[in-house]
Amino acid sequence: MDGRQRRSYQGMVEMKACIRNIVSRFALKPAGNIRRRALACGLALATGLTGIGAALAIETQIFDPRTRTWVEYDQNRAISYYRAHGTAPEDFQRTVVEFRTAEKPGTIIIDGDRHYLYYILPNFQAIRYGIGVGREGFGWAGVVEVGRKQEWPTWTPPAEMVARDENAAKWKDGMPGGPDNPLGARALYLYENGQDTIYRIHGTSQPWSIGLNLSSGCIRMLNEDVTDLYERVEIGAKVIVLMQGAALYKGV
Amino acid sequence: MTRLKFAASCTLAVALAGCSSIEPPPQPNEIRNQGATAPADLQLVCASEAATRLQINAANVFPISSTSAPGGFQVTLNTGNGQALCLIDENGAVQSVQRV
Repeated sequence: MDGRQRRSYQGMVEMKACIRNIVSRFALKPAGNIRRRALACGLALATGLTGIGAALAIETQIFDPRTRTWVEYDQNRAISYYRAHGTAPEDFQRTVVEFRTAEKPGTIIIDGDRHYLYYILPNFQAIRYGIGVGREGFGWAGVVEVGRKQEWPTWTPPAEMVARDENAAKWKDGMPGGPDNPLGARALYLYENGQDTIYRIHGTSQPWSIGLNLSSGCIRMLNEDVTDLYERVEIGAKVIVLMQGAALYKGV
Repeated sequence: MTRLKFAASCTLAVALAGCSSIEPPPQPNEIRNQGATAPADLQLVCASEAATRLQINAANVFPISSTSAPGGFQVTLNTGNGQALCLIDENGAVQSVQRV
């Protein structure tokens, strides 16, 4: 599988999972009626239009030292930066910051608009990590918890992808964990009321995507960062996700 | 002092006063959020304070959007049965909370 195919797989995996989530949330019955599902998805999209409009107004920018101007930090620029520096921009690298909150240490707070994940420490401090988040229409917000976690998780393509794509079909029983696996080195599975939300905080085989809105809702981290977080986080940890114009809310 | 010298002095004084408020130049490859949403910690401070001031269960108050405002940020909160607006300064001091 080449790089282009891997990018396609990672995006399609997350997109399919999140579309299923939207349909299951709004559809009246689980199977069959295509028109009703289309209406449900349409209603879901319409409900989020205002949010999507707000989300479009938020743009991540980087200061280009050559032109000395602020420019959009888009996919092309992110890939170019990563190729030149071998890492994400410094502002997206792991660091300890001041964080004023009454949430207890061990809580995870995600600022989807600014592309940061905070792991709360004592004394009004937090470890801040850079993240990639869901693209337009796939952002979500709310309060969930870490239900389980996995090292080098297996990725299983959805049935629709298996049926359509022969490259995905060979992984129909699960792609073993490894550096090419879209879920990366670690995965934290997010639950709501004991049920899997299908959203994860996970590593990535596309480290240049940190700081971007590319996924279908899952939170991406550099493998070294998600490994660090994995060692700190306990099962049951509270996760607060903030994102302007979210298309979906969980736990609130 | 001649008028010219006085005008020059005033101009210099204004320029020096302005220098103190000039932001430091951006660093190479610095990242910023053009939409200017409030930092996550300030959004959560707003939610907590709104729950207290409006006497609402804190679990029902959640930030849904934010934008820059003079001296800080305006955070829109979902209160379960409506919305509230919170004004908070950059130091985390809540200036006001009002039901919408």
